[in-house]
Amino acid sequence: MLIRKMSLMVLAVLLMLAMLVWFYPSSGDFEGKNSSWNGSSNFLSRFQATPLNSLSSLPSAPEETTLVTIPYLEFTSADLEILKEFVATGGSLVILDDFGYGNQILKYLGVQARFSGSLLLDPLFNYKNENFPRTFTFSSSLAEGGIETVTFNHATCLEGIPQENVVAQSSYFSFLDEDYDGEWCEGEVKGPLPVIAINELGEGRLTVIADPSILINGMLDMGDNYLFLEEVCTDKIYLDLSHLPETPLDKAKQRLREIRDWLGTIEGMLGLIVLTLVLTLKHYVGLKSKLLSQGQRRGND
Amino acid sequence: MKKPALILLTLMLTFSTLWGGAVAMGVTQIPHEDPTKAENHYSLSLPLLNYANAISLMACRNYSEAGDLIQQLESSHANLPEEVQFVMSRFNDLAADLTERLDRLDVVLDECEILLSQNEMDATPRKIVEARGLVAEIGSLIGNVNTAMDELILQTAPFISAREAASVQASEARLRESMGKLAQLEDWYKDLLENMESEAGKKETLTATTLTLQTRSSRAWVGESLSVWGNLIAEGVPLAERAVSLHISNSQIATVNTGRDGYYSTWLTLPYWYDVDEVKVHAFYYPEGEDSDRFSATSSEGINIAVMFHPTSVQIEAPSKMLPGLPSEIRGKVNSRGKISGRNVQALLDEDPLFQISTDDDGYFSRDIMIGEEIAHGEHSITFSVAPDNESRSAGTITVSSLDILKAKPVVTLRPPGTIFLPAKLEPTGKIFPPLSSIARIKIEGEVHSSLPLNEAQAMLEVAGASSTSFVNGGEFSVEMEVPFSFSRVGLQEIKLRLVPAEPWQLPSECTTEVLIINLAYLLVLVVVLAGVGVEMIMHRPHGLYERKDKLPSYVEEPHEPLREEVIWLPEAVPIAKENRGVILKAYYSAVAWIQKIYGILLGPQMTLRDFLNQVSSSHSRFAGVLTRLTGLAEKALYSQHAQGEDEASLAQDLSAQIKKQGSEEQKT
Repeated sequence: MLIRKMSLMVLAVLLMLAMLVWFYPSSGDFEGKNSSWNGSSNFLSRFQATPLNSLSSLPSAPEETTLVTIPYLEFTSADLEILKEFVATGGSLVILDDFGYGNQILKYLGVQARFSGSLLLDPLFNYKNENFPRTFTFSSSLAEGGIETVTFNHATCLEGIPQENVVAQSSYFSFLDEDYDGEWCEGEVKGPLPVIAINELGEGRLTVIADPSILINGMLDMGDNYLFLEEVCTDKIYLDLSHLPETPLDKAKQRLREIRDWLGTIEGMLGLIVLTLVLTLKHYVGLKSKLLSQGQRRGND
Repeated sequence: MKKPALILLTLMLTFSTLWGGAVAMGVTQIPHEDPTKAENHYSLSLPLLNYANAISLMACRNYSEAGDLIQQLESSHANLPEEVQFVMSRFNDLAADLTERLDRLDVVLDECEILLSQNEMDATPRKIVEARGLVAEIGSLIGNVNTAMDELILQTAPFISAREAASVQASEARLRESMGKLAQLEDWYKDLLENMESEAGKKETLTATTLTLQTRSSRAWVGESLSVWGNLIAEGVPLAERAVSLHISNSQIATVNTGRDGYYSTWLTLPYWYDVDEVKVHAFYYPEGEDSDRFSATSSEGINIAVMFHPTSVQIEAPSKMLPGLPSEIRGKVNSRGKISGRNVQALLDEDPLFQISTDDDGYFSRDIMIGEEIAHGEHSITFSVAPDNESRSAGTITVSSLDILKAKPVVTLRPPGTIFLPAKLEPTGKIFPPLSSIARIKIEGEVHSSLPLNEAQAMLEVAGASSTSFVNGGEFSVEMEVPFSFSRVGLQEIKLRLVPAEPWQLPSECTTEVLIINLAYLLVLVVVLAGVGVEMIMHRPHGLYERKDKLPSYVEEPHEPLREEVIWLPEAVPIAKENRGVILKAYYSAVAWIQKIYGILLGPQMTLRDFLNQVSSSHSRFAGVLTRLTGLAEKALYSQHAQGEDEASLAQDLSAQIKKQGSEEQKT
């Protein structure tokens, strides 16, 4: 009897856990459903962007389409090929990265540009402190669009970019803090350093931005970040969420989705039916045998 | 019951703790922080240090770099206290102004130096006056920059953190040192200016010279040689063997030496300049060698010469609209009074070369072109440039015509079936899982309309996660596809048709609509589950017989003796040897079950055996006597401590049989 009750309780707790996991808002960085400071829910809603859980869902005709990717997970060769094809056939690819796998994409696309991978600090032109460098040197096309400053959040810089492709630079006082001591030391590269570059590639366009955090909810309205993103993200916008690290909560949500999907298959549904029947029959048979044994005991008495 | 509740509570507490941990672990190692919670701190030594650097650069007369650095310190974007920002802004303005004046002074003094070296005594005094004015302005500006520096240091003081105090102090010292160097620079400029004034004073005693320039014609063709001549005289005395340089519109074209009589003459060839209507010719004399200490420099009056050439125009016949992938002809004619045959014509589409061609004898040209499919649709331009022909003195020309690249977007409409049933077909697969492959073959009809020809367009149909590709032409079409079975495919599902045309003049297009998918297997499962639940409920419905005793309070709450655990349940009694009690109860239950089944009178959970007897007796009085006796035996079996005899057991079985017999006979009649 106790085992049965315990089983029911465990089942109830598991169900509660599943429901909580299912409905609890995601807290993952850049997650489209995360409405706190580090999510991208505002970007998705204000830009009417479509979140992508797989690059294979990209439209086959990418003209007038922008794909925004934050490469914090390694790309498979299939994904890289999709990106290459996307740009080659007229799509606009926006890579926002600082310390992730952006260079893997750039290398595959055959461009010289690279993310430096060192922390960019600006002790003078910043928001609050040197970790939030502000850039206010833009190409004429961006400046004409009314963009005066873009604020970053723990950014890096770009390397190997031809000067004509650079559209935004950090200030003269910025530097790459290669030893992470927060101060400029002899030998550390000083600004101005390229932070945003746009390059025509094939039939499409490649935009490289040295900080993905400019699109998170907490940064989107800082300076002219929104205006700038409006300039580079045009037409139909897709946000690639498939290369973001998963939090345990995200993983749990994913497992639940997989379970739901599996239950949608023939095997899953049949399994569920069999399980239900077994439990029902077991309950019935168990009850019956119990009654019989009690009857026998009574008889013995 | 308390124990499970305690366990449940423990589980929930554990779960809550784990949940908190899981959510906390949700914070990944992404390098960014919440801007609203970030710590605010200023860097005050940096602007001071860079101002010191900028002033040092000024003191070293590196004005361009100093100006750039000051521009970089533009304070409106700097993260500094407002008071500091205001003073910094003022300091920036003054420093920028100072840099500009110093730079200008440098240029003016350089010009003065050149004029003095060339003995240009007409222009030198004006430049010296300008330099003197600049030196005075610079002196005043340096004073203002000093005041601003003091104010800046004063304003930054309250915001200096202990950590930064030493570096700020060092920067201040460096800034003051740089300002000292700047004051030295001011003195240096003053000395330089004085030296130049002194030299200019000396050169005012040089002999003045006069240079004349003449020509026969006031107009000339491009490439034509023009005869020019003149005299060089110093206070009425001809200057022989002196170099005179001839300039056309500020470009030195020739140099000629004067003769013994100070006369010079030469031919000037007019450059092939087709973009000017008139040029100005000048002659210059700059004293060299010993002449530098004797004569002043001079220049002639300028002579305006009208430039002649054959203008060229080009007439273009080009389509204003084109379809990518289809050939079109571009024709044109070059018109000029000069040469029109063999003229080189180059065409650029936007900025990319389109073709290059030479004109025929009559100046005509034509070319078939085909625009590639990769071109974007919309407005483009074709630039035709005709190169100048110097031989015939014919100018070149450029003309631009606009070209609209047309691409049609096909309009797709879909007419899906109202409902799709899944699965429609079952096929054995031979695999363990899934044992059967089940699909629904659906047919989607629709129309494609385009203003331009459309053939063999790739139509990709997507329904409920499945897709298929086929080829359609313009007009009506029909696409078939197989939708694999899945339980999740149910309800309104989106149908999307993406059309990728083969023709370069067509744009991709897509159309979306919805269709109702009814999943028969899903419904079947639902029915099975519901039926199972129903059966289960029915199985448990006769609580009076098979339910727990605690649901029969009247049955147990009025016992003649304390209720025992065993009587909570209504056991199905089994006749066992020496167990008459079970036989009696079984006989009673058998009779009750039979009455329930035949007459529908239920022994409800709240009823006692006596209640049941009364209910049966009131509606079926013929059973009253027999059932009363049987009920008495059953009650005795249930509640009495005394053992029942075999005779009672046998009697109970007889009574039960009688009830059934009577009932059956009644049923038959």
